[in-house]
Amino acid sequence: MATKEVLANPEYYLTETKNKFGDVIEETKVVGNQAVVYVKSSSVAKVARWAKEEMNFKQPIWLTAIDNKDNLELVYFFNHFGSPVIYTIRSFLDRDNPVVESLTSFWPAANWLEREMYDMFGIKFEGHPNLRRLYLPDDWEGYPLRKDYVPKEYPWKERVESYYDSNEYYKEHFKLADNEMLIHMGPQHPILHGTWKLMVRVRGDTIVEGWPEIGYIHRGTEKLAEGLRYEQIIPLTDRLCYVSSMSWHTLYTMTVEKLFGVEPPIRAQYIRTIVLEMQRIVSHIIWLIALAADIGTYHSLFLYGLREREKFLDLFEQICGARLTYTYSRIGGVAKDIPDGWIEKLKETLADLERHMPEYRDLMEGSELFHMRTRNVGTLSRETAIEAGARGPMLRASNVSYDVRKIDPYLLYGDVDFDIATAKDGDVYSRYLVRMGEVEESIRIIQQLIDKIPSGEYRKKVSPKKPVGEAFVRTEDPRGESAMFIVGRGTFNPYRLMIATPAYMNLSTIPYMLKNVPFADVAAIVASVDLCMGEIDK
Amino acid sequence: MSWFDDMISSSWEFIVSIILTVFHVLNIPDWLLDPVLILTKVIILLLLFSLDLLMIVWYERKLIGRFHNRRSVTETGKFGLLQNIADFVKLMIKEDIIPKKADKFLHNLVPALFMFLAMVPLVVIPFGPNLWAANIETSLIFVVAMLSMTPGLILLGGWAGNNKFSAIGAFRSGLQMVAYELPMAIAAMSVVLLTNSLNLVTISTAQQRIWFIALQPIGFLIFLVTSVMALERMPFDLPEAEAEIVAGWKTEFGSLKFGLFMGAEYVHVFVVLSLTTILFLGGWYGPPVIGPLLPPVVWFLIKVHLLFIFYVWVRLSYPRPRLDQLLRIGWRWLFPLALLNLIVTALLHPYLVALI
Repeated sequence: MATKEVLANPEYYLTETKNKFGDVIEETKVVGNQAVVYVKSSSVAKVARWAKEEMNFKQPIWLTAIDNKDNLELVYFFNHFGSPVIYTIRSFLDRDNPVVESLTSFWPAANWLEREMYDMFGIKFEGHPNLRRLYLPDDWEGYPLRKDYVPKEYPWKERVESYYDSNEYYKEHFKLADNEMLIHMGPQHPILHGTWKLMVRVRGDTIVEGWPEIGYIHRGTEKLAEGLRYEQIIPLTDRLCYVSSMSWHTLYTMTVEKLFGVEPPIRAQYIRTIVLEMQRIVSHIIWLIALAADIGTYHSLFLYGLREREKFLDLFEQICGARLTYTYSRIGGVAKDIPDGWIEKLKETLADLERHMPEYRDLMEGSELFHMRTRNVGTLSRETAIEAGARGPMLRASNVSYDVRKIDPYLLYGDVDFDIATAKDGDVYSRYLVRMGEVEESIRIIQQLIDKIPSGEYRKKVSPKKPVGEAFVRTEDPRGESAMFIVGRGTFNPYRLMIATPAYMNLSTIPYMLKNVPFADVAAIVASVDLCMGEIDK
Repeated sequence: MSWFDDMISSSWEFIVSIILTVFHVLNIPDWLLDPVLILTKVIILLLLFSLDLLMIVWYERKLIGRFHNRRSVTETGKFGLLQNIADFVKLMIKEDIIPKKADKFLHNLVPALFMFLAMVPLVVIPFGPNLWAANIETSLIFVVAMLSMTPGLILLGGWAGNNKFSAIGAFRSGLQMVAYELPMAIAAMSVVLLTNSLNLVTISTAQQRIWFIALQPIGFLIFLVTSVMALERMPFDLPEAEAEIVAGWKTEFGSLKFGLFMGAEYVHVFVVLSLTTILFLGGWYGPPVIGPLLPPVVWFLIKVHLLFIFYVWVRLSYPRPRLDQLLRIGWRWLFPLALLNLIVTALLHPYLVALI
């Protein structure tokens, strides 16, 4: 058995890989804590399976591709629950006929990722069970993220008119039995928290299967970013999630800083850590009140939660002038210094929240009906949660103690003392416990940092650069492990921006939870996922 | 409170005299007199009742607002008192949309019938001594029967919309009835056992000395819980669970039809709360000592409104159970408990009757 120090060393994995697959490995290198392996396209699945089974890389963080104009480059990122190393498999594919073996047979979490790559780059994954387009309509022409893509007008009108006759399509596709019914929940529906469609096949009051269909608000952020300068993209990444935009644009600026080789001043790092934790609190409060509303409390907790959130939004407004999409972080620091009296107000707000937390817990946990609605509902066992690709609180609720803040600390998380909130059962109740625990931990983190903010500059002047290189940064978003990967090719705008969104992976676990459950549990299950369609339909 | 009784009886005599004069002048046959008198009573009661209904809807909104830590309606009229009227007018002038594939006949029929069925039980509710429209021997059965007809109508209405969510909501309503109806009826039965009567007036007058909540505390609790189920109010609003089935069986109804459903719901609430008051809370009798300070009908209304405030409180505090859980509550807990309560009441019958 390898020791912890060995496990934390990327070199170890590279040597092992070379020993195991000498001939198919084209090149290996270490980039930060990434162990990068260039593999021949025919052996990608073989190496990935080995990494999963022998080397304990648990989940694909993300899968992406880069259009190099003469070939397509496939990039897989895998995470490890016991080490900060990110195993990166890269492979070059033929641009005219990109075919590669699918990972879905042993890594079900890769399902949507591969569909997305098929959608955006036209890469065909052999052995994929359901290789359809993920975001775009099935009869869309061209692959948008390829560099030579020319947008064409899509016949929306005919498409919409013919849509209502498509019931036959579903009947044919899903072979409904006589006592079964297919229900389209959405794209407009109260539980969905955004615009997507949940298809459920019900037999009586029991859901036989359910699966999400997404793509209704896909804006192509990754493509848009390719036409903008690095500093212009910050507001764009803000729009990824309307509930936690702070965490997204901070992640983006951190990635660009890594690419530029800029270190933000320590004061800016303090401020960023604090606002990120505030954002986590706000996001979890929104999640909590949405759950409460979805399982049927008449919005009483909803308004209490909004009252709490309001104070945090006021604080955000004081530092950046915005209440929802902040655009506060800049390349090389933060946009503005914290104003006078802000820290005192933050302390007050945190004290209020701490005082109110037992009240909220009592409103939820104190009621037998809440336990009835959430215990043993939407259960993901530890194994299934990892297999299906659950992230963040969803994963921790299934008794996996994995948090990027702990395992691969960024900003100041290495210096503060906090625990990873976990729960054992993997049901909706556990997710509730985890998120409530995280709010408490966030309060703890902020309280540790708040009095130690050093004086000094809050922003370093960074002139526009034309970087050549790549940068990969991952953080712990309120919804789970999020990551960005930027490829710079010597221009003012990024050549390729990859956004790894946790809510997307969590949404793709829904089919695992909607199996033989009562119809009414849809509300609790969907609410427990913590969806944010902005980042799913990125 | 003789002045109040005098006022009521003298004004009633005044109305009767007008009607008699009209009968005399127009030479209308005498056998029409009784129906006309009952109808007049019903109309007057309904008018007064509508005022109360408006108040109920208004202060429910206000209470919810206060529970929510916000202000609720404030702009229309003083304290937002006219907001309900404004809402009603808005519902009236909205376009009535009937879905293309809906059953048009049922879609039009069900809202009117729903309102009608909700209103009918009001006829036999005694609001005070001599303050009822009709006094029939089996009025309790009549009210319960009328109440249990609504799920049937809901089934029709949900089916008429030709919408999957409506249909699911309607079926849920039917199943929900299975959960609450027996415990509710049995809980009411133990009161009948005490009074030997199915007449609501007799049941009311039997509580002059002691309210039945003291003799039937468990029965009262069962009745209270099942009445929330019967009214399909939160937390037992499964047939219109907003989260999973949009608005349930009401999804396809708009404009005035929706308004009728909303109105009928509050009429239902009033009927069921009146029934609870009559069965367990002493009907129109006030509490001892301070009882004579107010007229009986005012005591009756105070009790109904206090119960309603309790309903609002419950509505704001609990999440809604699932259908199978609701059935389990109904059959595994409430039904045996109600039966047990009935048996105990039967065993202790002589002692309990002695207390009345």
